[in-house]
Amino acid sequence: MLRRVTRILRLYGPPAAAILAVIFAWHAVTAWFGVPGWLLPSPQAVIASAYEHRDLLPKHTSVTLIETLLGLAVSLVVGVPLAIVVVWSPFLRRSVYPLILALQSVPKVALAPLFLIWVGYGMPSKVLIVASVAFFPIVVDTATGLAIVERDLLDMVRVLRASTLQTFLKIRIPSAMPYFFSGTKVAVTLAVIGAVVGEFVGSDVGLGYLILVSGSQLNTAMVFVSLVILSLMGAILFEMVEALQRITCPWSVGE
Amino acid sequence: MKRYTNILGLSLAFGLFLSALPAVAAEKTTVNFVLDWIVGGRHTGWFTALHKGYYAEEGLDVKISRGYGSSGGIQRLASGQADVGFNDIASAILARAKDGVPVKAVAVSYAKHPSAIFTLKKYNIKTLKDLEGKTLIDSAGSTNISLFPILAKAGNIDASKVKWVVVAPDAKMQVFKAEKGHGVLFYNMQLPMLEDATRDQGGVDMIVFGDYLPLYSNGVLVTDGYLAKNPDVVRRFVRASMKGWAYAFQNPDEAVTLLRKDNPLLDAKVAKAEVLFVKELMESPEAKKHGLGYMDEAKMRETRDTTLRLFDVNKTVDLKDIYTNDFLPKSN
Repeated sequence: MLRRVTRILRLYGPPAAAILAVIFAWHAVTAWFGVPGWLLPSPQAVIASAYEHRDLLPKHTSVTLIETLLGLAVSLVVGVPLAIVVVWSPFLRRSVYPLILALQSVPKVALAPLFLIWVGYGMPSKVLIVASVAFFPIVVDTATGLAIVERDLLDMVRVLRASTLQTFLKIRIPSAMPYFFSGTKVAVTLAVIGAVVGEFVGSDVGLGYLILVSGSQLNTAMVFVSLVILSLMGAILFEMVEALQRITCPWSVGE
Repeated sequence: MKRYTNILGLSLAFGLFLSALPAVAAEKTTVNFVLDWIVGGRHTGWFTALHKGYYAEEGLDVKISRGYGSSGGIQRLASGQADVGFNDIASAILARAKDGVPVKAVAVSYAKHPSAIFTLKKYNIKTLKDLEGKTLIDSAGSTNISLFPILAKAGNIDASKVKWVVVAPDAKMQVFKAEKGHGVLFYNMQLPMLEDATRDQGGVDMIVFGDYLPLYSNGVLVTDGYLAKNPDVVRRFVRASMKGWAYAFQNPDEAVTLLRKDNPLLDAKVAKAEVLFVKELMESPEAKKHGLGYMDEAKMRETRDTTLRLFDVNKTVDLKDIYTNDFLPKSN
Protein backbone atom coordinates (compact mmCIF):
# COMPACT_ATOMS: atom_id res chain seq x y z
CA MET A 1 0.00 0.00 0.00
CA LEU A 2 2.73 2.42 1.00
CA ARG A 3 4.71 1.38 -2.11
CA ARG A 4 1.67 2.31 -4.23
CA VAL A 5 1.26 5.70 -2.60
CA THR A 6 4.93 6.59 -2.87
CA ARG A 7 4.94 5.50 -6.50
CA ILE A 8 1.98 7.75 -7.32
CA LEU A 9 3.61 10.63 -5.48
CA ARG A 10 6.88 10.07 -7.28
CA LEU A 11 5.22 9.98 -10.70
CA TYR A 12 2.58 12.66 -10.37
CA GLY A 13 4.00 14.78 -7.58
CA PRO A 14 6.53 16.80 -9.56
CA PRO A 15 4.26 17.76 -12.46
CA ALA A 16 1.38 18.62 -10.12
CA ALA A 17 3.68 20.74 -7.99
CA ALA A 18 5.04 22.50 -11.06
CA ILE A 19 1.56 23.30 -12.35
CA LEU A 20 0.45 24.58 -8.94
CA ALA A 21 3.56 26.75 -8.76
CA VAL A 22 2.76 28.27 -12.15
CA ILE A 23 -0.83 28.97 -11.15
CA PHE A 24 0.32 30.54 -7.90
CA ALA A 25 2.84 32.75 -9.69
CA TRP A 26 0.17 33.73 -12.22
CA HIS A 27 -2.23 34.64 -9.42
CA ALA A 28 0.50 36.60 -7.67
CA VAL A 29 1.32 38.62 -10.76
CA THR A 30 -2.29 39.55 -11.45
CA ALA A 31 -3.10 40.30 -7.83
CA TRP A 32 0.01 42.17 -6.74
CA PHE A 33 0.87 44.06 -9.91
CA GLY A 34 -2.63 45.20 -10.74
CA VAL A 35 -2.47 43.84 -14.26
CA PRO A 36 -5.70 44.72 -16.13
CA GLY A 37 -8.01 41.82 -16.76
CA TRP A 38 -8.12 42.36 -20.49
CA LEU A 39 -4.32 41.97 -20.67
CA LEU A 40 -3.76 39.07 -18.26
CA PRO A 41 -6.81 37.67 -16.52
CA SER A 42 -6.35 36.11 -13.09
CA PRO A 43 -6.73 32.34 -12.66
CA GLN A 44 -10.02 32.93 -10.84
CA ALA A 45 -11.34 35.02 -13.75
CA VAL A 46 -10.44 32.28 -16.19
CA ILE A 47 -12.15 29.60 -14.09
CA ALA A 48 -15.22 31.82 -13.68
CA SER A 49 -15.36 32.41 -17.43
CA ALA A 50 -15.06 28.68 -18.11
CA TYR A 51 -17.90 27.96 -15.72
CA GLU A 52 -20.09 30.69 -17.18
CA HIS A 53 -19.77 29.32 -20.70
CA ARG A 54 -19.44 25.67 -19.74
CA ASP A 55 -22.22 24.63 -22.11
CA LEU A 56 -20.27 25.99 -25.08
CA LEU A 57 -17.01 24.27 -24.32
CA PRO A 58 -17.83 20.62 -25.11
CA LYS A 59 -19.03 21.41 -28.62
CA HIS A 60 -16.11 23.61 -29.60
CA THR A 61 -13.56 21.36 -27.90
CA SER A 62 -14.83 18.26 -29.64
CA VAL A 63 -14.72 19.96 -33.04
CA THR A 64 -11.09 20.99 -32.59
CA LEU A 65 -10.26 17.55 -31.22
CA ILE A 66 -11.83 15.81 -34.22
CA GLU A 67 -9.98 18.10 -36.64
CA THR A 68 -6.74 17.30 -34.83
CA LEU A 69 -7.30 13.54 -34.78
CA LEU A 70 -8.50 13.27 -38.37
CA GLY A 71 -5.65 15.47 -39.56
CA LEU A 72 -3.20 13.30 -37.63
CA ALA A 73 -4.71 10.18 -39.16
CA VAL A 74 -4.30 11.63 -42.64
CA SER A 75 -0.72 12.65 -41.96
CA LEU A 76 0.06 9.15 -40.70
CA VAL A 77 -1.60 7.49 -43.68
CA VAL A 78 0.32 9.75 -46.05
CA GLY A 79 3.51 10.23 -44.06
CA VAL A 80 4.48 6.70 -43.10
CA PRO A 81 4.22 5.20 -46.62
CA LEU A 82 6.04 8.26 -47.91
CA ALA A 83 8.84 7.66 -45.41
CA ILE A 84 9.06 4.00 -46.44
CA VAL A 85 9.12 4.93 -50.11
CA VAL A 86 11.80 7.53 -49.58
CA VAL A 87 14.06 5.06 -47.77
CA TRP A 88 13.37 2.22 -50.19
CA SER A 89 14.19 4.16 -53.34
CA PRO A 90 17.09 6.62 -53.36
CA PHE A 91 15.78 7.99 -56.66
CA LEU A 92 12.44 8.88 -55.06
CA ARG A 93 14.26 10.27 -52.08
CA ARG A 94 16.15 12.70 -54.29
CA SER A 95 13.02 13.74 -56.17
CA VAL A 96 10.37 13.79 -53.45
CA TYR A 97 12.27 15.05 -50.42
CA PRO A 98 12.95 18.57 -51.75
CA LEU A 99 9.24 18.97 -52.50
CA ILE A 100 8.35 17.97 -48.98
CA LEU A 101 10.89 20.42 -47.63
CA ALA A 102 9.47 23.18 -49.81
CA LEU A 103 5.96 22.49 -48.53
CA GLN A 104 7.18 22.57 -44.95
CA SER A 105 8.86 25.92 -45.44
CA VAL A 106 5.65 27.61 -46.50
CA PRO A 107 3.97 29.08 -43.43
CA LYS A 108 0.69 27.26 -43.01
CA VAL A 109 -1.01 30.51 -42.04
CA ALA A 110 -0.43 31.59 -45.64
CA LEU A 111 -1.52 28.24 -47.08
CA ALA A 112 -4.67 28.00 -45.00
CA PRO A 113 -6.71 30.59 -46.97
CA LEU A 114 -5.80 28.75 -50.19
CA PHE A 115 -6.98 25.45 -48.76
CA LEU A 116 -10.24 27.14 -47.84
CA ILE A 117 -10.78 28.38 -51.37
CA TRP A 118 -9.99 24.96 -52.83
CA VAL A 119 -11.75 22.73 -50.35
CA GLY A 120 -14.40 24.97 -48.78
CA TYR A 121 -14.90 26.13 -45.22
CA GLY A 122 -15.95 22.85 -43.63
CA MET A 123 -14.15 20.11 -41.74
CA PRO A 124 -12.11 18.82 -44.75
CA SER A 125 -10.20 22.08 -45.03
CA LYS A 126 -9.20 22.01 -41.37
CA VAL A 127 -8.19 18.35 -41.61
CA LEU A 128 -6.04 19.25 -44.61
CA ILE A 129 -4.38 22.10 -42.75
CA VAL A 130 -3.68 19.89 -39.73
CA ALA A 131 -2.30 17.17 -41.99
CA SER A 132 -0.05 19.64 -43.80
CA VAL A 133 1.42 20.73 -40.49
CA ALA A 134 1.72 17.30 -38.88
CA PHE A 135 3.05 15.14 -41.67
CA PHE A 136 6.55 16.59 -41.87
CA PRO A 137 7.91 15.40 -38.49
CA ILE A 138 6.32 12.01 -39.14
CA VAL A 139 7.95 11.64 -42.54
CA VAL A 140 11.36 12.88 -41.51
CA ASP A 141 11.62 10.98 -38.24
CA THR A 142 10.21 7.75 -39.62
CA ALA A 143 12.49 7.93 -42.65
CA THR A 144 15.46 8.58 -40.40
CA GLY A 145 14.52 5.63 -38.24
CA LEU A 146 14.15 3.35 -41.24
CA ALA A 147 17.49 4.40 -42.63
CA ILE A 148 19.54 4.32 -39.46
CA VAL A 149 19.79 0.67 -38.72
CA GLU A 150 22.77 -0.91 -37.00
CA ARG A 151 25.27 -2.02 -39.58
CA ASP A 152 25.89 -5.21 -37.62
CA LEU A 153 22.22 -6.16 -37.69
CA LEU A 154 22.02 -5.66 -41.46
CA ASP A 155 25.19 -7.64 -42.04
CA MET A 156 23.97 -10.43 -39.84
CA VAL A 157 20.64 -10.89 -41.62
CA ARG A 158 22.38 -10.66 -44.97
CA VAL A 159 24.57 -13.53 -43.89
CA LEU A 160 21.42 -15.38 -42.94
CA ARG A 161 20.18 -14.65 -46.51
CA ALA A 162 17.25 -12.45 -45.64
CA SER A 163 15.38 -10.90 -48.59
CA THR A 164 15.01 -7.14 -48.92
CA LEU A 165 11.40 -7.41 -47.84
CA GLN A 166 12.28 -9.51 -44.81
CA THR A 167 14.99 -7.08 -43.86
CA PHE A 168 12.53 -4.27 -44.14
CA LEU A 169 9.78 -5.91 -42.17
CA LYS A 170 11.78 -7.59 -39.46
CA ILE A 171 14.75 -5.30 -38.99
CA ARG A 172 14.12 -1.81 -40.32
CA ILE A 173 10.57 -1.30 -39.17
CA PRO A 174 11.05 -2.41 -35.54
CA SER A 175 14.27 -0.43 -35.46
CA ALA A 176 12.42 2.64 -36.72
CA MET A 177 9.59 2.46 -34.19
CA PRO A 178 11.17 4.76 -31.59
CA TYR A 179 11.88 7.35 -34.26
CA PHE A 180 8.36 7.03 -35.59
CA PHE A 181 6.96 7.68 -32.14
CA SER A 182 9.28 10.61 -31.67
CA GLY A 183 7.99 12.12 -34.89
CA THR A 184 4.39 11.39 -33.99
CA LYS A 185 4.74 13.03 -30.60
CA VAL A 186 5.98 16.22 -32.22
CA ALA A 187 3.29 15.91 -34.87
CA VAL A 188 0.58 15.67 -32.22
CA THR A 189 1.45 19.01 -30.67
CA LEU A 190 1.78 20.62 -34.09
CA ALA A 191 -1.57 19.15 -35.11
CA VAL A 192 -3.37 21.01 -32.33
CA ILE A 193 -1.74 24.24 -33.47
CA GLY A 194 -2.70 23.45 -37.06
CA ALA A 195 -6.34 22.99 -36.08
CA VAL A 196 -6.39 26.36 -34.34
CA VAL A 197 -4.68 28.12 -37.26
CA GLY A 198 -7.25 26.61 -39.58
CA GLU A 199 -10.05 27.83 -37.37
CA PHE A 200 -8.60 31.32 -37.09
CA VAL A 201 -8.61 31.65 -40.83
CA GLY A 202 -11.87 29.99 -41.71
CA SER A 203 -14.28 28.56 -39.22
CA ASP A 204 -17.30 29.38 -37.14
CA VAL A 205 -16.83 26.60 -34.64
CA GLY A 206 -13.98 25.28 -32.52
CA LEU A 207 -11.60 26.55 -29.87
CA GLY A 208 -9.72 28.71 -32.38
CA TYR A 209 -12.98 30.35 -33.33
CA LEU A 210 -13.76 30.89 -29.62
CA ILE A 211 -10.42 32.60 -29.22
CA LEU A 212 -11.22 34.85 -32.16
CA VAL A 213 -14.67 35.83 -30.93
CA SER A 214 -13.61 36.31 -27.32
CA GLY A 215 -10.52 38.25 -28.36
CA SER A 216 -12.53 40.58 -30.55
CA GLN A 217 -14.62 41.50 -27.53
CA LEU A 218 -11.58 41.78 -25.27
CA ASN A 219 -12.85 38.82 -23.25
CA THR A 220 -9.28 37.70 -22.56
CA ALA A 221 -10.43 35.41 -19.74
CA MET A 222 -12.36 33.35 -22.29
CA VAL A 223 -9.34 33.37 -24.61
CA PHE A 224 -7.33 31.84 -21.78
CA VAL A 225 -10.00 29.20 -21.21
CA SER A 226 -9.55 28.08 -24.81
CA LEU A 227 -5.76 28.22 -24.48
CA VAL A 228 -5.82 26.06 -21.36
CA ILE A 229 -8.07 23.49 -23.01
CA LEU A 230 -5.82 23.45 -26.09
CA SER A 231 -2.67 22.87 -24.08
CA LEU A 232 -4.39 20.13 -22.09
CA MET A 233 -5.49 18.56 -25.37
CA GLY A 234 -1.95 18.61 -26.72
CA ALA A 235 -0.48 17.28 -23.51
CA ILE A 236 -2.99 14.44 -23.21
CA LEU A 237 -2.55 13.40 -26.84
CA PHE A 238 1.21 13.48 -26.36
CA GLU A 239 0.94 11.25 -23.30
CA MET A 240 -1.33 8.85 -25.16
CA VAL A 241 1.21 8.46 -27.94
CA GLU A 242 3.92 7.89 -25.38
CA ALA A 243 1.77 5.27 -23.67
CA LEU A 244 1.44 3.51 -27.02
CA GLN A 245 5.20 3.73 -27.40
CA ARG A 246 5.67 2.21 -23.96
CA ILE A 247 3.52 -0.73 -25.02
CA THR A 248 5.06 -1.36 -28.43
CA CYS A 249 8.70 -0.56 -27.84
CA PRO A 250 9.24 -0.18 -24.12
CA TRP A 251 13.00 -0.12 -24.50
CA SER A 252 12.86 3.24 -26.16
CA VAL A 253 11.01 5.12 -23.45
CA GLY A 254 13.06 6.75 -20.71
CA GLU A 255 12.16 6.25 -17.04
CA MET B 1 -41.23 -14.78 -33.24
CA LYS B 2 -39.53 -14.74 -36.64
CA ARG B 3 -42.79 -14.15 -38.42
CA TYR B 4 -43.62 -11.16 -36.25
CA THR B 5 -40.20 -9.51 -36.58
CA ASN B 6 -40.81 -9.20 -40.31
CA ILE B 7 -44.11 -7.39 -39.78
CA LEU B 8 -42.54 -5.30 -37.03
CA GLY B 9 -39.68 -4.29 -39.27
CA LEU B 10 -41.99 -3.34 -42.11
CA SER B 11 -44.27 -1.31 -39.87
CA LEU B 12 -41.32 0.53 -38.43
CA ALA B 13 -40.04 1.36 -41.87
CA PHE B 14 -43.47 2.50 -42.99
CA GLY B 15 -43.86 4.62 -39.87
CA LEU B 16 -40.53 6.31 -40.49
CA PHE B 17 -41.52 6.91 -44.09
CA LEU B 18 -44.77 8.54 -43.02
CA SER B 19 -43.06 10.77 -40.51
CA ALA B 20 -40.66 11.97 -43.18
CA LEU B 21 -43.45 13.00 -45.52
CA PRO B 22 -44.35 16.27 -43.77
CA ALA B 23 -40.73 17.37 -44.01
CA VAL B 24 -40.67 16.60 -47.70
CA ALA B 25 -44.01 18.26 -48.33
CA ALA B 26 -43.07 21.44 -46.46
CA GLU B 27 -39.79 21.70 -48.35
CA LYS B 28 -38.19 25.08 -48.06
CA THR B 29 -35.59 26.71 -50.24
CA THR B 30 -32.21 26.71 -48.58
CA VAL B 31 -30.40 30.00 -48.68
CA ASN B 32 -26.76 30.14 -47.59
CA PHE B 33 -26.34 33.64 -46.20
CA VAL B 34 -22.83 34.71 -45.33
CA LEU B 35 -22.09 37.74 -43.16
CA ASP B 36 -19.17 40.16 -43.38
CA TRP B 37 -17.29 39.11 -40.26
CA ILE B 38 -17.75 37.39 -36.91
CA VAL B 39 -21.31 37.70 -35.65
CA GLY B 40 -21.86 40.77 -33.50
CA GLY B 41 -24.69 42.93 -32.19
CA ARG B 42 -24.74 44.67 -35.56
CA HIS B 43 -26.07 41.47 -37.15
CA THR B 44 -29.08 41.24 -34.87
CA GLY B 45 -31.72 41.92 -37.51
CA TRP B 46 -30.82 38.87 -39.58
CA PHE B 47 -31.19 36.63 -36.55
CA THR B 48 -34.44 38.37 -35.67
CA ALA B 49 -35.81 37.45 -39.09
CA LEU B 50 -34.58 33.90 -38.53
CA HIS B 51 -35.92 33.32 -35.03
CA LYS B 52 -39.19 35.23 -35.45
CA GLY B 53 -39.92 32.92 -38.37
CA TYR B 54 -39.97 35.63 -41.06
CA TYR B 55 -37.71 33.60 -43.34
CA ALA B 56 -39.75 30.48 -42.67
CA GLU B 57 -42.96 32.35 -43.50
CA GLU B 58 -41.43 33.15 -46.89
CA GLY B 59 -40.60 29.48 -47.39
CA LEU B 60 -36.90 30.02 -46.83
CA ASP B 61 -34.51 27.93 -44.78
CA VAL B 62 -31.77 30.47 -44.22
CA LYS B 63 -28.40 29.34 -42.91
CA ILE B 64 -26.48 32.29 -41.53
CA SER B 65 -22.74 31.85 -41.28
CA ARG B 66 -19.98 34.15 -40.22
CA GLY B 67 -17.90 36.01 -42.79
CA TYR B 68 -14.22 36.49 -43.39
CA GLY B 69 -14.07 40.02 -44.68
CA SER B 70 -15.25 41.53 -47.94
CA SER B 71 -12.93 39.76 -50.35
CA GLY B 72 -13.67 36.39 -48.77
CA GLY B 73 -17.36 37.09 -48.87
CA ILE B 74 -17.45 38.11 -52.51
CA GLN B 75 -15.32 35.10 -53.39
CA ARG B 76 -17.75 32.78 -51.67
CA LEU B 77 -20.63 34.35 -53.59
CA ALA B 78 -18.82 34.06 -56.87
CA SER B 79 -17.88 30.43 -56.27
CA GLY B 80 -21.40 29.52 -55.24
CA GLN B 81 -20.42 28.57 -51.72
CA ALA B 82 -22.81 31.25 -50.53
CA ASP B 83 -26.10 32.32 -52.12
CA VAL B 84 -26.48 35.74 -50.52
CA GLY B 85 -23.83 37.84 -48.81
CA PHE B 86 -23.79 40.77 -46.46
CA ASN B 87 -20.76 42.78 -47.45
CA ASP B 88 -19.27 46.09 -48.46
CA ILE B 89 -20.85 47.40 -51.67
CA ALA B 90 -17.63 49.24 -52.51
CA SER B 91 -15.77 45.93 -52.53
CA ALA B 92 -18.39 44.53 -54.88
CA ILE B 93 -17.96 47.51 -57.18
CA LEU B 94 -14.21 46.97 -57.22
CA ALA B 95 -14.57 43.26 -57.87
CA ARG B 96 -16.95 43.93 -60.76
CA ALA B 97 -14.77 46.66 -62.28
CA LYS B 98 -11.40 44.98 -61.90
CA ASP B 99 -12.18 41.29 -62.29
CA GLY B 100 -15.63 41.25 -63.80
CA VAL B 101 -17.09 39.46 -60.79
CA PRO B 102 -20.86 39.48 -61.41
CA VAL B 103 -22.05 40.69 -58.02
CA LYS B 104 -24.62 43.38 -57.31
CA ALA B 105 -26.41 44.90 -54.34
CA VAL B 106 -30.13 44.33 -53.86
CA ALA B 107 -30.41 46.27 -50.61
CA VAL B 108 -28.22 48.54 -48.56
CA SER B 109 -27.80 48.27 -44.79
CA TYR B 110 -25.17 50.79 -43.88
CA ALA B 111 -26.54 53.68 -45.91
CA LYS B 112 -24.22 55.95 -43.98
CA HIS B 113 -20.58 54.92 -44.02
CA PRO B 114 -19.96 53.48 -40.58
CA SER B 115 -16.18 53.56 -40.43
CA ALA B 116 -15.15 55.67 -37.48
CA ILE B 117 -12.02 56.87 -35.77
CA PHE B 118 -12.10 56.31 -32.04
CA THR B 119 -9.71 58.27 -29.87
CA LEU B 120 -9.25 58.25 -26.14
CA LYS B 121 -11.07 61.23 -24.65
CA LYS B 122 -7.91 62.43 -22.98
CA TYR B 123 -6.33 63.22 -26.36
CA ASN B 124 -9.08 65.75 -26.99
CA ILE B 125 -9.43 64.89 -30.66
CA LYS B 126 -12.82 66.29 -31.59
CA THR B 127 -12.49 67.29 -35.25
CA LEU B 128 -10.63 66.05 -38.30
CA LYS B 129 -8.17 68.89 -37.90
CA ASP B 130 -7.07 67.48 -34.55
CA LEU B 131 -5.89 64.32 -36.33
CA GLU B 132 -2.89 65.97 -37.95
CA GLY B 133 0.30 64.70 -36.39
CA LYS B 134 -1.44 61.78 -34.73
CA THR B 135 -1.15 58.01 -35.16
CA LEU B 136 -4.03 55.78 -36.12
CA ILE B 137 -4.33 52.01 -35.75
CA ASP B 138 -5.99 49.78 -38.32
CA SER B 139 -5.67 46.33 -39.83
CA ALA B 140 -3.77 45.33 -42.95
CA GLY B 141 -5.81 45.71 -46.10
CA SER B 142 -8.43 47.84 -44.42
CA THR B 143 -10.42 50.00 -46.80
CA ASN B 144 -10.36 52.76 -44.18
CA ILE B 145 -6.71 53.40 -44.81
CA SER B 146 -7.50 53.79 -48.51
CA LEU B 147 -10.50 55.97 -47.80
CA PHE B 148 -8.65 58.22 -45.40
CA PRO B 149 -7.20 60.59 -48.01
CA ILE B 150 -10.74 61.41 -49.15
CA LEU B 151 -11.81 61.98 -45.59
CA ALA B 152 -8.80 64.21 -45.13
CA LYS B 153 -9.75 66.21 -48.19
CA ALA B 154 -13.32 66.56 -46.97
CA GLY B 155 -12.02 67.90 -43.69
CA ASN B 156 -9.33 70.04 -45.28
CA ILE B 157 -6.45 68.36 -43.53
CA ASP B 158 -3.14 66.99 -44.79
CA ALA B 159 -3.46 63.19 -44.92
CA SER B 160 0.31 62.75 -44.95
CA LYS B 161 0.47 64.27 -41.48
CA VAL B 162 -1.34 61.24 -40.07
CA LYS B 163 0.71 58.15 -39.30
CA TRP B 164 -0.57 54.59 -39.41
CA VAL B 165 0.13 51.55 -37.28
CA VAL B 166 -1.01 48.44 -39.13
CA VAL B 167 -1.74 45.31 -37.07
CA ALA B 168 -3.72 42.09 -37.32
CA PRO B 169 -7.48 42.73 -37.09
CA ASP B 170 -7.84 40.88 -33.80
CA ALA B 171 -5.03 42.82 -32.22
CA LYS B 172 -6.40 46.30 -32.95
CA MET B 173 -8.19 46.64 -29.64
CA GLN B 174 -5.24 45.52 -27.53
CA VAL B 175 -2.82 47.76 -29.40
CA PHE B 176 -5.18 50.72 -28.92
CA LYS B 177 -5.61 50.02 -25.23
CA ALA B 178 -1.85 49.78 -24.89
CA GLU B 179 -1.85 53.34 -26.28
CA LYS B 180 0.40 52.60 -29.20
CA GLY B 181 -1.68 55.05 -31.24
CA HIS B 182 -4.04 57.94 -30.61
CA GLY B 183 -6.92 56.46 -32.47
CA VAL B 184 -8.23 53.16 -33.78
CA LEU B 185 -10.62 52.47 -36.62
CA PHE B 186 -13.74 50.41 -36.17
CA TYR B 187 -17.35 50.78 -37.19
CA ASN B 188 -19.39 53.45 -35.39
CA MET B 189 -21.73 50.79 -34.02
CA GLN B 190 -18.80 49.44 -32.03
CA LEU B 191 -18.78 52.58 -29.87
CA PRO B 192 -20.53 50.76 -27.00
CA MET B 193 -17.91 48.02 -27.09
CA LEU B 194 -15.11 50.59 -27.11
CA GLU B 195 -16.67 52.59 -24.30
CA ASP B 196 -16.92 49.39 -22.30
CA ALA B 197 -13.34 48.42 -23.04
CA THR B 198 -11.83 51.83 -22.30
CA ARG B 199 -13.86 52.62 -19.20
CA ASP B 200 -10.73 52.57 -17.09
CA GLN B 201 -9.03 54.96 -19.50
CA GLY B 202 -11.81 57.50 -19.62
CA GLY B 203 -13.78 56.48 -22.68
CA VAL B 204 -13.53 57.51 -26.31
CA ASP B 205 -14.49 60.18 -28.81
CA MET B 206 -15.68 59.23 -32.26
CA ILE B 207 -15.38 60.73 -35.75
CA VAL B 208 -17.61 58.98 -38.29
CA PHE B 209 -16.62 58.79 -41.96
CA GLY B 210 -20.26 58.83 -42.98
CA ASP B 211 -20.66 62.34 -41.60
CA TYR B 212 -18.21 63.59 -44.22
CA LEU B 213 -18.48 61.12 -47.07
CA PRO B 214 -21.75 60.16 -48.78
CA LEU B 215 -20.73 56.57 -49.42
CA TYR B 216 -22.65 53.36 -49.11
CA SER B 217 -21.04 50.58 -47.15
CA ASN B 218 -22.47 47.14 -46.41
CA GLY B 219 -25.47 45.76 -48.22
CA VAL B 220 -27.08 42.56 -49.37
CA LEU B 221 -25.15 41.15 -52.33
CA VAL B 222 -26.04 38.43 -54.83
CA THR B 223 -24.49 37.23 -58.05
CA ASP B 224 -26.20 37.96 -61.37
CA GLY B 225 -26.53 34.23 -61.93
CA TYR B 226 -28.27 33.55 -58.64
CA LEU B 227 -30.51 36.55 -59.14
CA ALA B 228 -31.53 35.41 -62.61
CA LYS B 229 -32.28 31.88 -61.42
CA ASN B 230 -33.97 32.75 -58.16
CA PRO B 231 -35.48 36.24 -58.39
CA ASP B 232 -38.37 35.34 -56.16
CA VAL B 233 -36.14 33.83 -53.49
CA VAL B 234 -34.08 37.02 -53.40
CA ARG B 235 -37.21 39.16 -53.17
CA ARG B 236 -38.56 37.06 -50.32
CA PHE B 237 -35.21 37.03 -48.53
CA VAL B 238 -34.90 40.81 -48.70
CA ARG B 239 -38.48 41.31 -47.56
CA ALA B 240 -38.10 39.00 -44.56
CA SER B 241 -34.74 40.52 -43.68
CA MET B 242 -35.98 44.10 -43.72
CA LYS B 243 -38.95 42.99 -41.64
CA GLY B 244 -36.53 41.42 -39.18
CA TRP B 245 -34.53 44.62 -38.96
CA ALA B 246 -37.62 46.77 -38.53
CA TYR B 247 -38.72 44.52 -35.68
CA ALA B 248 -35.27 44.63 -34.12
CA PHE B 249 -35.28 48.43 -34.18
CA GLN B 250 -38.64 48.47 -32.40
CA ASN B 251 -37.81 45.67 -29.96
CA PRO B 252 -34.04 45.69 -29.46
CA ASP B 253 -34.08 43.78 -26.17
CA GLU B 254 -36.03 40.87 -27.59
CA ALA B 255 -33.98 40.92 -30.78
CA VAL B 256 -30.74 40.72 -28.82
CA THR B 257 -32.06 37.79 -26.81
CA LEU B 258 -32.77 36.01 -30.08
CA LEU B 259 -29.29 36.88 -31.34
CA ARG B 260 -27.71 35.46 -28.23
CA LYS B 261 -29.46 32.14 -28.69
CA ASP B 262 -26.88 31.26 -31.33
CA ASN B 263 -24.15 33.53 -30.03
CA PRO B 264 -24.08 33.39 -26.22
CA LEU B 265 -20.63 34.93 -25.98
CA LEU B 266 -21.98 38.34 -27.05
CA ASP B 267 -22.64 40.92 -24.36
CA ALA B 268 -26.36 41.83 -24.32
CA LYS B 269 -25.93 45.48 -23.36
CA VAL B 270 -23.31 46.12 -26.02
CA ALA B 271 -25.30 44.23 -28.65
CA LYS B 272 -28.42 46.29 -27.97
CA ALA B 273 -26.48 49.53 -28.30
CA GLU B 274 -25.04 48.27 -31.60
CA VAL B 275 -28.57 47.60 -32.88
CA LEU B 276 -29.52 51.21 -32.20
CA PHE B 277 -26.46 52.40 -34.08
CA VAL B 278 -27.35 50.24 -37.06
CA LYS B 279 -30.83 51.80 -36.87
CA GLU B 280 -29.24 55.19 -37.37
CA LEU B 281 -27.26 53.87 -40.35
CA MET B 282 -30.16 52.10 -42.01
CA GLU B 283 -32.77 54.80 -41.55
CA SER B 284 -31.31 57.09 -44.14
CA PRO B 285 -33.42 59.86 -45.71
CA GLU B 286 -33.97 57.66 -48.76
CA ALA B 287 -34.92 54.70 -46.58
CA LYS B 288 -37.44 56.77 -44.68
CA LYS B 289 -39.05 57.68 -47.99
CA HIS B 290 -38.84 54.40 -49.88
CA GLY B 291 -38.34 51.74 -47.22
CA LEU B 292 -35.38 50.08 -45.56
CA GLY B 293 -32.65 49.04 -47.95
CA TYR B 294 -33.42 51.58 -50.66
CA MET B 295 -30.40 52.81 -52.61
CA ASP B 296 -30.28 56.33 -53.94
CA GLU B 297 -28.86 56.62 -57.46
CA ALA B 298 -26.81 59.75 -56.89
CA LYS B 299 -25.24 58.35 -53.72
CA MET B 300 -24.51 55.08 -55.49
CA ARG B 301 -22.88 56.95 -58.35
CA GLU B 302 -20.74 58.83 -55.84
CA THR B 303 -19.85 55.55 -54.13
CA ARG B 304 -18.86 53.99 -57.43
CA ASP B 305 -16.82 56.94 -58.67
CA THR B 306 -15.02 57.44 -55.36
CA THR B 307 -14.20 53.76 -55.01
CA LEU B 308 -12.87 53.38 -58.55
CA ARG B 309 -10.86 56.59 -58.31
CA LEU B 310 -9.42 55.60 -54.96
CA PHE B 311 -8.11 52.28 -56.19
CA ASP B 312 -6.90 53.66 -59.53
CA VAL B 313 -9.23 51.51 -61.58
CA ASN B 314 -9.50 52.76 -65.14
CA LYS B 315 -12.42 50.59 -66.19
CA THR B 316 -15.86 51.63 -65.17
CA VAL B 317 -19.08 49.81 -64.45
CA ASP B 318 -22.66 50.68 -65.20
CA LEU B 319 -24.74 51.62 -62.20
CA LYS B 320 -27.31 49.06 -63.22
CA ASP B 321 -24.63 46.39 -62.90
CA ILE B 322 -23.84 47.23 -59.30
CA TYR B 323 -27.23 47.75 -57.73
CA THR B 324 -30.96 47.40 -58.13
CA ASN B 325 -33.91 48.42 -56.03
CA ASP B 326 -36.21 46.03 -57.88
CA PHE B 327 -36.07 43.37 -55.21
CA LEU B 328 -37.01 45.55 -52.26
CA PRO B 329 -40.49 45.28 -50.81
CA LYS B 330 -42.66 47.92 -52.39
CA SER B 331 -43.11 50.68 -49.83
CA ASN B 332 -46.64 51.35 -48.77
